[in-house]
Amino acid sequence: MTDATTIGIASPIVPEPAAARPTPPIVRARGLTKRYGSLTAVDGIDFDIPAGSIFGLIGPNGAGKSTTFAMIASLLIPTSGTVTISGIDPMQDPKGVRKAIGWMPDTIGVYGDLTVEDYLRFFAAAYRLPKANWEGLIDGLLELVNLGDKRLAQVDSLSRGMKQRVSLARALVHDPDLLILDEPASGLDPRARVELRELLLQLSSMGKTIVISSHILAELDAVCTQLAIMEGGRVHASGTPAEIRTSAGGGRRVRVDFLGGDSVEIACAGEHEQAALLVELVNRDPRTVIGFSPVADDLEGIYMRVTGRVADVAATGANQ
Amino acid sequence: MTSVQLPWQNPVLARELKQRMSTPRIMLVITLYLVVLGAIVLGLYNARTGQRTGGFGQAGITQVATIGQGLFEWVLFFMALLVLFIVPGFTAASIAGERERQTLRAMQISLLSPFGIVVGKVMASVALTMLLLVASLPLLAVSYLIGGITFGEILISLGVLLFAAFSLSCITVACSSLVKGVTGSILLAYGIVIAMVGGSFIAFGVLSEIDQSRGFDQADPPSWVMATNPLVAIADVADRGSGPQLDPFGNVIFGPFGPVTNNTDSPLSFIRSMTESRFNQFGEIGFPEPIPVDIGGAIPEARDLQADRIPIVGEFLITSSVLAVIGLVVATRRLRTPAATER
Ligand SMILES: Nc1ncnc2c1ncn2[C@@H]1O[C@H](COP(=O)(O)OP(=O)(O)OP(=O)(O)O)[C@@H](O)[C@H]1O
Ligand SMILES: [Mg+2]
Repeated sequence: MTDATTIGIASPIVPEPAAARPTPPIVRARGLTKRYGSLTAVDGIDFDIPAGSIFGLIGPNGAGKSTTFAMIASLLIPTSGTVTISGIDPMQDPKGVRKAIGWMPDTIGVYGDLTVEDYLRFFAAAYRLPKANWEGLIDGLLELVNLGDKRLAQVDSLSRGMKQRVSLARALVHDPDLLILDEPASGLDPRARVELRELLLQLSSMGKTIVISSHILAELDAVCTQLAIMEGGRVHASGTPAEIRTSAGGGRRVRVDFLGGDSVEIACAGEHEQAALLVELVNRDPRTVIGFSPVADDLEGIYMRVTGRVADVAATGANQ
Repeated sequence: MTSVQLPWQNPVLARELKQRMSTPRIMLVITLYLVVLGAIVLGLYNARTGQRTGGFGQAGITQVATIGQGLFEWVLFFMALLVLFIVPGFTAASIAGERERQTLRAMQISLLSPFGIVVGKVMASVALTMLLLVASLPLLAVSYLIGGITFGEILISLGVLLFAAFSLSCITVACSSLVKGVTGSILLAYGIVIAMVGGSFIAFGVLSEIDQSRGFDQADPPSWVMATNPLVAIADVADRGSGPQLDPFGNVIFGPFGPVTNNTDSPLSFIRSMTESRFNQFGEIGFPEPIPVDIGGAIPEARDLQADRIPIVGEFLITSSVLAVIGLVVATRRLRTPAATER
């Protein structure tokens, strides 16, 4: 696949259990706030992004995701609070942060009148990489994002998904430890989304920490090791997908089907309670049980509840 | 890991040139420009040589030299106009365009410094202007071959033009960093050019009128009003003063009435006549009277007049340098990140 030596990426590390080796978080935000006049885009959020994780930030339009990313990426000055990247404060040492991060904005900004290779050469120069390495680097990057045959193509002639991959290759030019991808899946067709997911896993296996945003939770559910649900500038739930399920969703639900077509759903907090409740039900109920199935209470439901609740609060707040 | 970058290795410069050269537009601009300028030179040359009555023998080298000077000043004038029109066109989109196309922030979070980005943009536009100026060199060479001007004069004039292009590029990059959209940036940049050129002429004209209405005194209209005007500076550079004129071989050029005079009918000569008109006792703006009539000691000697003439080139170079620095500082500050707002 990728020639790791040419693009300078360390050989894939064997994933270890997260708990076995507590690594310091690569991104740490404390009370991070951004205000535009009276509008609070990001409202004092705290989060840690563990090194090596795939961290998903999910929220509806205007939640403050891009603003948060811009503050991590040393573009925006926080109104208050701090964020550090590998211990570096972008306000103190923006160059230090810039060496460590690759950022892909939510808009595809590419120079359409350049060829793909010239586009990447420009950023290789912008990151002051030695010229002797450029060509091998570009080969490696294009192979990674599956654009090997488009090297000489004019950027304008590429499809949206391809441009997005060119943009991703650009973010990887200087082999950063942390990738910040702002809605990389928007505008992609289903196949391209699957490919993107695979690419993210591949990058993760190369040891990169990935921060990714989306409105669509299903997109991130499958790949993310950490999730945060954001709305109205606040983080409403965060943790591993499993943690969010238990904490915000009130546990799991199981559907019990009876002979004759009846069914009931039971909600339970954990595995033990689930077993107990089911045994009790089977004993108590005169009907014949023909099957159990977990109800797909995926994160989508939780997300809708979290963001819906916030919307309700906002609506009542507006009525008062 | 990193390598040292020399100024001409500026990544933004390299990219800009690649982008500009990838379209045939620049070549079209050059061709069109040369065709127009060539036609003007040819027309002037024909008109001048046609005016000659009695042939070479009578007019001698003087008239030929005057033709050479006239052509030189006409070409120079059009080159100066070109700089004024084309530099804002080359530069106005430099930063505003990247904002519009959403490509700016990717540059800002790279290891390029804001100053490096600005300098790359300025150098790209100066390089393109230089290309145009070099392309029109053959036309200047025609006047050089005809005679009446020196190689040094050509070099100095080109130097002043390039400096004007540089300064204007810096100012336009600042416009481009201040205004969000490309259209606004173009309007602002051309507005500034019009103010620098037209505005300074008008201001000087008004001040001259006021000055002359007061009659003769020692106070002259302040010359710094013209210090932003590249046309005045270039007219000044092309001015041969009243000293003896040299042919390409360094010999003094003599006409029937003495050394070759400074009077050509080029627009530059007209501009000079404006700046000199304050010495015209009748207050007529038009042809200068190099030797004032003595009407009673109030008028300085002709020698003093020459020394007294507005040293516009110097003032222009100083003003342009200051404006260039201001432009660079403004643009650099506008590109600095982290910033309070990005849009
Ligand atoms: N430069 C700005 N000036 C004023 N308000 C801004 C600015 N940038 C963002 N905002 C506001 O801040 C809030 C958060 O915006 P942000 O772009 O971070 O949201 P987002 O979660 O990325 O949304 P989306 O999913 O639409 O990309 C929005 O209400 C937005 O209008
Ligand atoms: Mg966004």
